[in-house]
Amino acid sequence: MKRSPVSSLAPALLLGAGLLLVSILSLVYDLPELGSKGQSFVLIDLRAPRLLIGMLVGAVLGVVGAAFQALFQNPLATPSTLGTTAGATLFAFLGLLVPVSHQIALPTLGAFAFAGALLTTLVVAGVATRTRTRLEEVLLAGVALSLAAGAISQALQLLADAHQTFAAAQWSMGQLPQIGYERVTWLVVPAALTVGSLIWLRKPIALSALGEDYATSFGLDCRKLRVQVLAAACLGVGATVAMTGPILFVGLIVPHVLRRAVSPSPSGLLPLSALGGATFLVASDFLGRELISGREIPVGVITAGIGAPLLFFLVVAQSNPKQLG
Amino acid sequence: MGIFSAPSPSPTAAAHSPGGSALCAVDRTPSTYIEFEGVKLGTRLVDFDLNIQAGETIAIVGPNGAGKSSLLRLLLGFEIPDQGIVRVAGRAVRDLRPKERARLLSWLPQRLNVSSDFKAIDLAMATRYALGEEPVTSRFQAEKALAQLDVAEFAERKVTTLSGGELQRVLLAALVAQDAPLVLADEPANHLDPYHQLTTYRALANLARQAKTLLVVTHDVALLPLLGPAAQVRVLGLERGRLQLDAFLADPNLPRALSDLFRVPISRRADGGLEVAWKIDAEELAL
Repeated sequence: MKRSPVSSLAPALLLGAGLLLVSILSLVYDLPELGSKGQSFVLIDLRAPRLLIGMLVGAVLGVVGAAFQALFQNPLATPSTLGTTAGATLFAFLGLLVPVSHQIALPTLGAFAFAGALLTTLVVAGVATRTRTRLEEVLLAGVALSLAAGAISQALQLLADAHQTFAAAQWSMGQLPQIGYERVTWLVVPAALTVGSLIWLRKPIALSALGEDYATSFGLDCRKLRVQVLAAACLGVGATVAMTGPILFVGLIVPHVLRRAVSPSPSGLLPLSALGGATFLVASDFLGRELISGREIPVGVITAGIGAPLLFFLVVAQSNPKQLG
Repeated sequence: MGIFSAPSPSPTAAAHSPGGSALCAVDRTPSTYIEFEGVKLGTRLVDFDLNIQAGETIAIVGPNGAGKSSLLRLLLGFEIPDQGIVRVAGRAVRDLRPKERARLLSWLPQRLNVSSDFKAIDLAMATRYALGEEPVTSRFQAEKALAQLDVAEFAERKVTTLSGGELQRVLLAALVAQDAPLVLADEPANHLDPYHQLTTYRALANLARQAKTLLVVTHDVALLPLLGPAAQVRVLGLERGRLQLDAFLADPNLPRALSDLFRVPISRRADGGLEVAWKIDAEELAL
């Protein structure tokens, strides 16, 4: 599925340049007057690790969204619709709310979120790998699990005290943490594994969009691919949810916009979505930080605020009668 | 009732491929053939036996729900028989790995799950996935196949922008590009206008001429003569999961047998073509 190098490289370079631009902007924009020592602290110890986390989270969500949309042949398939995000969120809630202490260490929270993502993904994968399961049923199972997990999460908040509930509510909006490099090192391995393996599998993933039967007929092992993609997604999404809370709409909107804007080759969409997701998330976080001075808007609110109307616009723009024939 | 008995298939002693292991055991020589042995699949196929030799042109006909498509789905490994065994090239389908199977069998889907990301050239290249070759080689073969089906001009067009007939030609090109010795087509012309029905069947007949083994599922008997010389097109009639008819297209008793199978009068025209000879009852219409 290789294009001439020019056509596949140009959008990648463009996105890379965009990412570089927003990265520099988010690093140096409106740097407080604190003297050179204070500035370097803000730059290197606060903003740089946050930027890195934004890139990693965005890349994971973008590439997982693109992979799910191809695999499930459904433009609405994302980590959030398949239950991965909701499962991770529910277990992270358990981690936040159940222990008596107010502060829970990040590795523990991460482990909880990962376990939640793994559990829901395993259930969905269990449905997915039964021989005669249709993909729509997998998607439905994911949606059902998401709703159930969401309901339990809400019930858990009722059981907790006000302080814990506030912390959980804040966390559930999705925001990038501002604390040092420790979190970056926690995230970098699972994120790299997820992004790397999904880009590695880009060709079979792209072919699976032609429908399981047809793809099987020319030699794709669709069941194996389902398991591989679900496992990779689970790892990355579990890790990112633990780090930032659930951030919605990135996996949904980024592949859609790229598809319309640059119409890449089917397999080229995956690496581009990783780049695009990173750019979108860093830009959203920058907006959330600078939009109202002195107050931060969680990045999850920004991505939803941009993503939801954009999605609506795309759907309306796309539903021209020509497509129906 | 002579034609209702199956022509005796050649001995199946060669069922076991000589090589035995791994990819090289997939046999592309004329011994390649298809075998159903005591196959049961729900109520769709019942105690089903069938032998097909390499290079045969087979038309599988029968009313809706007769089990025609199930035959193809079993061959493609989409479904697993409850009982019995399905063999291709001497190997049980369930033992074939997906890529091995794709090198033996190609399939013309009835409808494509249209993905907006794919251009015609991507589709034609996709079918060569199992060959694990360089993209340059895939592209070369795909372009050749598109040209062969007269759709080279659509190569860079998104498949979502093609008409039904154009898309069908692109799918046929993808089939040609896959270059498997067995070609399966399920109702390949059902949704097409008469012109594209004709060109589709001609393209399939062309594959049959290239010594491919061709299995076409259809209930449109008028199209059968397009598949090749009447003495060579073998017609299998299915009803309620059983083989009711096995005869060559040239068989003089075929129209009567088909009439019984489909429960409508089917007759042979002077030029050898088959047609459904409805009687239109003007009085009934007037009601």
